[in-house]
Amino acid sequence: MADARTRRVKKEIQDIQNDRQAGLTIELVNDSIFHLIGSFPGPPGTCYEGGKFDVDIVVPETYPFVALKMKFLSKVYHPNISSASGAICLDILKDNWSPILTLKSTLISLQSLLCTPEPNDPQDAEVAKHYLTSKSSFEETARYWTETYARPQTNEGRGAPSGTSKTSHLPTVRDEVAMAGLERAHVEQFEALGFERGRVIEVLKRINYRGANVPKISEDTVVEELLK
Amino acid sequence: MNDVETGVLSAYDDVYSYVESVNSNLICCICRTPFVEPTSAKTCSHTFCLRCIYQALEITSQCPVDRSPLTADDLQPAGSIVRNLVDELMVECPCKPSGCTHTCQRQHLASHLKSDCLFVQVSCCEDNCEQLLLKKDIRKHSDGCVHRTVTCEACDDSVKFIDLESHQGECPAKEITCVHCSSTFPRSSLQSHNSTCTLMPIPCPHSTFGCAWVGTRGTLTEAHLATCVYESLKGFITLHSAKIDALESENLALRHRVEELEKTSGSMKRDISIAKASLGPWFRSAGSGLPPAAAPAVPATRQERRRSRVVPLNGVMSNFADDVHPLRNSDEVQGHLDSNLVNPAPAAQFQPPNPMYMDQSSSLGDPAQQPAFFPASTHPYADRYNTSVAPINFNVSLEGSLSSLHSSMIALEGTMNSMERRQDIMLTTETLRMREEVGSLRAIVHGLRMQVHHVMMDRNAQIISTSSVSTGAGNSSGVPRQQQEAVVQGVERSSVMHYHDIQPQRPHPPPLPGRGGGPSFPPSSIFRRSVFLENKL
Repeated sequence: MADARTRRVKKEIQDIQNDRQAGLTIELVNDSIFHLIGSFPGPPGTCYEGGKFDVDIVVPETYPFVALKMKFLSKVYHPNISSASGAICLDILKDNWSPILTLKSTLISLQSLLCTPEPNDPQDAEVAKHYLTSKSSFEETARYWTETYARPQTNEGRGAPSGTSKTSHLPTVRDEVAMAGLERAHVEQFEALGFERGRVIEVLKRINYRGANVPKISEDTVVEELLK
Repeated sequence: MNDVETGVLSAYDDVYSYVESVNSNLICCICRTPFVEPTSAKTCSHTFCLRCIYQALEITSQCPVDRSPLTADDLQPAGSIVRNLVDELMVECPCKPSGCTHTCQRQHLASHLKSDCLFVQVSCCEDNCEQLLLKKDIRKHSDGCVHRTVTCEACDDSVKFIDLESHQGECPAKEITCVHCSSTFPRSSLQSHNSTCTLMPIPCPHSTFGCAWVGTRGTLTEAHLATCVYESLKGFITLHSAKIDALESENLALRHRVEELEKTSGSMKRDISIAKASLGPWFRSAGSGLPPAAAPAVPATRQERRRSRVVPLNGVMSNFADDVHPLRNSDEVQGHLDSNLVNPAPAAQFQPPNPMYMDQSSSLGDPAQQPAFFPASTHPYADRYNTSVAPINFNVSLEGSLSSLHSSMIALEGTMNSMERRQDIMLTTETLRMREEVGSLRAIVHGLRMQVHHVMMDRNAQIISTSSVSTGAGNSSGVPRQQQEAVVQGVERSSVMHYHDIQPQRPHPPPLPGRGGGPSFPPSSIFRRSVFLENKL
């Protein structure tokens, strides 16, 4: 006979599979109901619209009394999500967990996190800086990331939901400048001075050479940073 | 039986399988199943299963639904409506997989499982049988259970069925047949039969002494014992074996004693070695008085004997004398030197028996005479004479050395006292002399002061008289004004000189007294006069 945790998780998986309207999906990893991959569509009307975001879910031993362990598998450009590891900064996944929360409600919370970034409590400081400096530039980059990394697959099995397998099907090579959320003109300007492209992008990204910040940072400062 | 059933019930306790879908208002939001023991919060009226809410409150003390603060004290059983609704939910019997098709209200499930359900798994009631069976099969099983108790037909004992076969092999009531005489009797009397069976082969009673005969009990007395060699020696053998026994026991007692003595001697050895170590170089074995094999010749032995007689005398002078003083010491030293002169050869030959101070003696040349702790470079006798401290000599007993050291201390104390007295006398004499000298010096200084005073008085009187004459003559007198001024200046100057510049004014300045040169002071008239004055005062 199954224990309470198993029964509840099974029921929750069924709930998600029965409710097609929300657009959520859930799959088992290694046939274990305690390690799952959930996905949800990017919220419409945001820069994440059209994407399909995969989340790695681990159900702890003491579930539902402690929080689910979740992290993004798709790369997301968002102040509260680490662009490197996919770690999520969300209160209900930490201290504000409640036993009444379910797989479904947590996935929907993540979806709504994409709608309402909280740059003052960031998980990724560089992205948060970008967001605060120029929201339009940030949205452009986020959209580009969504297109690059979170493109929904139709015909293919979803064994490897990481960005690389998806980008291989893109007609063009990934644009690093757009990926970093920088102006192409700025990058080319410093590239013309004889610096390597990758280095220029890295430095400009670090010092947040975007939007309203551009007039504040002198070219000499940038060159100094580049020479470091 | 009761324990087994409650175990079964608790195993099925929270795994109800509901017949129809349950109204979502009766679902616990924590475990997502209909409430079991529904419990409500007094503060916010949210309802949970008892077990779920307690587990949730262990982690955070707030209501899982609205996050308002909540503790276990705020909980109460939910209203009777809720309880009745969940209790009346129809559930299937959890033994459905085994074949039970029973459905009932949830509240009746426990009694169904306990009494009615024939598909509950129970274990056999026999002690060692661990087989789990469905309740309906239990009667069939217990009839054939190998652990059931049966009664032995022969002895009426209760025996487990599984043990019956092995019991047959040892049942005391079962009849058995003697292999020798073919008579039958119950197993319990086998022992007594064996001791009387005439056809049983037995050895000769003297087999321990070497008789090899073996035969049936019946033939022993008639056929064998009449001819047995050992039978005739029976008395002798008995006597000897008794003696041997006695000796063996005595031997044993003696061995014990030897062991005890060995133990005692071991502990004594340890004590002795400890004492030896603490004595250090003063330890001498019993044979140390005699010289080692180095001096076998008769004259040498004689000299040695003399040496050994001398040693206690000169080893430490004043060793045995309590009233030592430096004068006597010198006599003894003389004796020392004499003995040294008389016996130079044996002194060189002599080696102390104890190897512990072999190297010391070789560096000093004459260990019998010289104290081992004196440095080789200084002459020991001079040292000894001046300090009157007894040298440390390992050839003398410890008590002797201690008493000699003690007497040396007393002698030293005496010397110290006399030196102190002499020092006192010298100091007193010197002090007296110094006091005398200081007195004479004071007198000289006083005389000088008087003399100076006298001279100054004379001078002043002279100047005053001169100025009064010139004043009386008036300004028109023959004394020129310049001279007058000089005189006035002179007066002023003299008053200054009175204190500071006496010496150039004095026609015959007396010689200054040298420091501490009281007796060497040259006598002059002034000095004499001042001494006279002082004496008069």
